[in-house]
Amino acid sequence: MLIMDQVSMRYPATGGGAGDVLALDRLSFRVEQGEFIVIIGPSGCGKTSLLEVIGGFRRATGGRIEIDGEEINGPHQDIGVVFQEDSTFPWLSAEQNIEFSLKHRGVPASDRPTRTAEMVRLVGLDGFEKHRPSQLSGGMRQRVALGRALAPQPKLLLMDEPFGALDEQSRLGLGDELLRVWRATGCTIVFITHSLSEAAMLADRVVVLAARPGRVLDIIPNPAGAGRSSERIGTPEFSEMTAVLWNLLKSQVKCGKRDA
Amino acid sequence: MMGYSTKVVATRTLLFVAAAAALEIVPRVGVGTQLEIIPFSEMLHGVWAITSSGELWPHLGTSLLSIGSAFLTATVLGVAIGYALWRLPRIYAAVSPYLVSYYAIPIFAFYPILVVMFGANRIPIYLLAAGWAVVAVVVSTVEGLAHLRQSWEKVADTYHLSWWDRALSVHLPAAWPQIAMGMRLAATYSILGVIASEFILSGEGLGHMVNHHYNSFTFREMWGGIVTVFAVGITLDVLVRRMTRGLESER
Repeated sequence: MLIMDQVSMRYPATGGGAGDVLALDRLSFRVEQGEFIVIIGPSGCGKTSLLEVIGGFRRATGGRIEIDGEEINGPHQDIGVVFQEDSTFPWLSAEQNIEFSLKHRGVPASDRPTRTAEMVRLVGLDGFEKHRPSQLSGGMRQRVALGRALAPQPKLLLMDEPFGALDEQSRLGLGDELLRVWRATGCTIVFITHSLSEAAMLADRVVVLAARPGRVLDIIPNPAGAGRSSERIGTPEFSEMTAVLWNLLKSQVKCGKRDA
Repeated sequence: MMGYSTKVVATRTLLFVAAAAALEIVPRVGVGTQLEIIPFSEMLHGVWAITSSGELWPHLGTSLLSIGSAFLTATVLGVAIGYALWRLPRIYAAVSPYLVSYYAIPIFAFYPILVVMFGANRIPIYLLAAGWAVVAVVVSTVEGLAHLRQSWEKVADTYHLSWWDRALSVHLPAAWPQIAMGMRLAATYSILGVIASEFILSGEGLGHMVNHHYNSFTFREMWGGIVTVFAVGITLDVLVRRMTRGLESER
């Protein structure tokens, strides 16, 4: 479904400094239809750069990105994005925020109310449709952003540390909600995080990135299987997964600190 | 227990009553001559006199038309110029000092030049008022747009919004609170621009009516005119505030 083939991202030196910065180094992996992929790596490993090139916000300086055989050269209509920072529009209500994506994806006005209502139910915003983002918690605002991204039924949903600004309990709760929505829609998700437990709880497979420049260190299938949720946090599979991820990342975190 | 807005209204009313009482008492205890100030009740009689005689209406209509035109022009042009300047940051950086110091310029000095250029009619008055009000909207629009969140731009990118859709669906709504503040200032500057210009040189309008009564020593009618200008200012501000709040709740 998504093919990353030798993708590199190099930023030109800024402020008269010498030397370009290589953020991503010949990254290759595939994501299958309906898969939930989590990308994890130490700070500064290029996770956000990776999301930006997949989302088409930046052009990769090397390699090729394809969705269903079509090369990505800019923002693509089959890709929805949920950002780390609050991206809801404060001047619109929750349902108007969701309807925004339908309108700008060309969904006929007559179909929008029904699809918006379905999405409100799906992301658990019943009773809060008319609320403005300022009247909602951080977690609820991310539900609105998720509903807006999912409403046009994208083939691929990119999520850039969407729960990063939330407390641990909210993150776990929203993780369960996200798994429920993913199972209900069957969409393909690429989820970026720096949280080991979030990766172990959510992913079918985890792509582990190396520090500076970002390259694929390993791709780990999740032993927790299809029924994973926050209730499985204490299970041996969950512990095993987080241990494997930490063992891979430990040396990279040291590298990152040394480079910093 | 009184709510916040009730307290605000109560305080505002109290201030008005206190000012009116002071205006009533001060002249009656002999502070100032009748050439300088008259009791508030006399001012209200002045309002009644210019209203009942029919003198007020054509002047009020003429002034309101100019104020409304100047305000609308300043709003539309100010938002458009502000948006363009925001998209052209180098130009904005170049003109920014002029915009900031704009209100230090004695713009009424240009009124005689405008009269020479366009004649002693409503055009110089309209131009002066619109020209004075527009910069408030320009500055507030740029200021509002300067604080857009990067994530909103990314959402706009995600949905391939054209520059027009982006402006109407994201940029201007995001900057709306500041634009609304600029519009309120523009309404005040429009009133001031029109009334002051009429006062200086005009054959019609509220400013001319006040000036005429001043020169004719008919002070009761003069104060009636001033009270009317005051009422027009408050009414327009309330209208603009309601309008901008209305748009806010529609969004």
